[in-house]
Amino acid sequence: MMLKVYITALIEDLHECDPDAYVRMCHVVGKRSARIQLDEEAVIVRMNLGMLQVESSTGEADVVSGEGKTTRATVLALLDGSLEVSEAILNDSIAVYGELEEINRMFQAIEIILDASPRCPELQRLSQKFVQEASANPNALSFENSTWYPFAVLPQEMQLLARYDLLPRETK
Amino acid sequence: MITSDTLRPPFFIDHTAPAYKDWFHLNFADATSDTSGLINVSLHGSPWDDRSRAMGTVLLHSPEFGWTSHVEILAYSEANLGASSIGLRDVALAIDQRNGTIHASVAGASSRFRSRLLAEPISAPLEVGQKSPLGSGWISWCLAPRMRISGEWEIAGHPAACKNLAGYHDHNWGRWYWGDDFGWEWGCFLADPQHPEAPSFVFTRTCDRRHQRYGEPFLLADLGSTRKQYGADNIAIRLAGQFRGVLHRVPGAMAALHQEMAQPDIPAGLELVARRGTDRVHITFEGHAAAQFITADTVVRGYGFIHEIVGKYSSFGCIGGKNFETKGYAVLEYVI
Repeated sequence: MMLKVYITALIEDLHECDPDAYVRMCHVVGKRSARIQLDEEAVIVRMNLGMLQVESSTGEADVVSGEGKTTRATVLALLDGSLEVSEAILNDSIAVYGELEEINRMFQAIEIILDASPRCPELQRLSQKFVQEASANPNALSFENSTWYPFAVLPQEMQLLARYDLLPRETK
Repeated sequence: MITSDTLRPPFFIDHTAPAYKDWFHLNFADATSDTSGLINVSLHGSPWDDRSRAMGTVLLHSPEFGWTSHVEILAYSEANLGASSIGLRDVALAIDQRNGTIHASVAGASSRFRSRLLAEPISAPLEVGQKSPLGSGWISWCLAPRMRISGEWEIAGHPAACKNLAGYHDHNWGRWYWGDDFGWEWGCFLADPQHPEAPSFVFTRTCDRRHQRYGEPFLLADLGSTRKQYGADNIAIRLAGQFRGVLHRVPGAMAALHQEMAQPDIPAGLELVARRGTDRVHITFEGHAAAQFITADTVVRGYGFIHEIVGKYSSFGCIGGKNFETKGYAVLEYVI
C-alpha cells in the first residue's frame, strides 16, 4: 500500500469509526501541514476545514509546518514492542523537525489515532495490513537497535544525568 | 479435575454484556534454562459487538534471550471459540473437560517463541465461585495451583524438549471495563513437580487503582494432599522496593501511546507472612525482570496496565504440623 493511500485510509477510518476523535484531530491540526516520510516515500498531509489532503512531496522545496521521518523497520519494531518511541528518537530512527508547538501537535494527532484504535476494528485491520505488507520486505525486518546514547557525551553531562537519576537503566 | 470449567459468555438479555471479560491463563517455569513464561487467551466485550476482541498473549523471559513476546488480536468471528478453548491464528489454548489437561500452542513465522505444551493438573482445582467486586463490576475465578508441563518449544531458533516444568493455571471471568478504578496484586509461587511434598502458593488481593485501598487478601497453600486457605485475619503482605529495570511493554502501539507508563511505580519484590494456629508460612519473592501488558477496553476509553514481574522465591514454615522449606520460580502480577 502506498503511503498516500495508507494515510488517507487511516484518517477516513478514524472519521467513520470515532467522529469525536476525528473532530479532536481537526482541532489539534488546524490548518497546519506536515511532510511525512516513510523510507523513500514522502507525502504532504493537510487537514483543511475538516478535509484531508494528501499530496506527493516535491522534496526540500515543500513549505510545511513540520516534518516526520521514519522507516518501515522502525514502525514494525515499535508495533511488536521491541522498540520504545523514546529509543527510536534517540537513535534517529524517528526524526521530527519543526517548532516545538508544531511537533507537539504532530504527536497529538498520532496519539488520537492510537487512542481510538482499540475501539475501531477498521484501524486494527489497517495496522494488520501494514504489518503484513511491510514484513514481506526483508529490509524492514532487519531493524538494528543501536545502544543509547548514540553520540559522544562529556563526563560532566554523565555526572549531571547520574545525579538526577536520568541515566538509562540496565537492559536485559 | 476442572470438569465444568468453560468460558462464561453472557446471555443475550444480559445488559452487562458489553463489560464481559473471560480468559484462560497458563504460567510455567523451566529450571534448566531459567525460563519463566505465560500463555493467556482472552475475550473482551459482548459477543454481539463487532468491536469485541479475542486476544492471545505470550510473554517469556530467559536470562539468555531477555523478553520474548507475541500478541495477537482478532475479532470473535475470526477466532475459533469453543466451550473451553480459544484458538487464534498463532496462539491457542484448550482445556480437556474430561481431565482438566490443558493443551497450549504458540506458532507463527514471526514469533521468536514457538511451543506445544501439555499441562496436567497434579492437584485438585479450586473454584472461587463468588463474584468479587472489581471496578464497576465483578470478577470470578477458578484455579489449578499445580500443573506438570511437558512438550517442546523453540526460543529464538533454539529448540528444546521440556519435561516436568512447574506450572499453574487459572480461569478468570466477569464484567468490568479496563480503566475502571481498580487494580490487583496476584502471585503464583510454583512448586517443583518433581517434589510433590513441596507446597505451592497462590496469593491475591484486589485494590483501587492507586493500590491504597485493599480488598480481602487470599492465600492458598497447596501441598498436593493437603490444602489450606488463609484470609485477611491471617496474612501480612509487604511489597518490597521499586523495580528499576527496563520494562518490556506490549502491545507496541499502546506502549507508544502511554509514554507516561514507561517507568511506573511497581514493586521489585514481596514478603508475605501467614499465621493461623500452629500454621505459619513465610514467603520472600525477588523480581528479576518485568513486562507490562497494556490492555485497552473495546467499548469505553480505558486502559489497564498488567505488570508481570518474574523472579524467584523462597519459603519456609509449617503447615498442618509439617515443616517445609522450599525455593522456586514465581511471578507477581501487579495491575494498575
